[in-house]
Amino acid sequence: MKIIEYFAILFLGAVFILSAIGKILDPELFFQDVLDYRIFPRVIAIAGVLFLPWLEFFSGLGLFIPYLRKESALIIAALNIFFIIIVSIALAKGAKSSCGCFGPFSEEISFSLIIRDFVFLITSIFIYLRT
Amino acid sequence: MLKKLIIILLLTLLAGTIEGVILYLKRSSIFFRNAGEIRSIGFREFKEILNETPVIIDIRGKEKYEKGHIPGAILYDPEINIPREKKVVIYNDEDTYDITLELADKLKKQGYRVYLFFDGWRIWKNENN
Repeated sequence: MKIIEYFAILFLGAVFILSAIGKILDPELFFQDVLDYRIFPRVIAIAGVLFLPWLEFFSGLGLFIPYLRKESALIIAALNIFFIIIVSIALAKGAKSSCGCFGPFSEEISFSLIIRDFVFLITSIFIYLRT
Repeated sequence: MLKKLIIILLLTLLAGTIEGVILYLKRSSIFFRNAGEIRSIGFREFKEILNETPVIIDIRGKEKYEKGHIPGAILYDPEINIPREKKVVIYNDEDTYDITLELADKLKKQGYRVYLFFDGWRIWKNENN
């Protein structure tokens, strides 16, 4: 079970750090993606572009630090619930733009994103419960 | 638990604020998208407007235009004659924010329906890769 836990931490931590770096390196592109969701007002989109990637980065990094692991897993779980809601709304609105998940390497908004976020959510809850 | 959550949130707040200041000083498009009444658009909206065959103006300069541009875009020329009924999309890069806003403002005053597609070429390339 310990090996599965380490693998989960490595997997989720890497995903969130890489996802954050993609957005931090190209904030303008991420901003476009956020606007294309057509859900958030401009000022919220700007705040999201500035703070969301760093929250992902520090919570991803926190998974590797035993002292912050449980709290990081909690934040990641909350983020994934947020992503699932946002992507669901965007899909319901018929959005076909880039999801903005990994900066320039993002895919188009689709149902598979929701499934992926569910996997991340379950993984983060697993880490939370095991820590 | 709460103390550790606050640590992560404070780090986020600090890093995000520093990034915000840097982007503001670099005149990033996320802070300079609105020019009065002129609409700025994202990639998705740009694609929708393409169906109406707008006049697309590349304002980045000849050298950058010749290296690559959005299909159908024309290089900005002060003598350009734009049909009044056409929508006008202006795209730029980070070096040309100011002249973009000046041109957009000028065209708007002449009665054109103007849209700004900030950093358009780079976003176009990224979205089409």
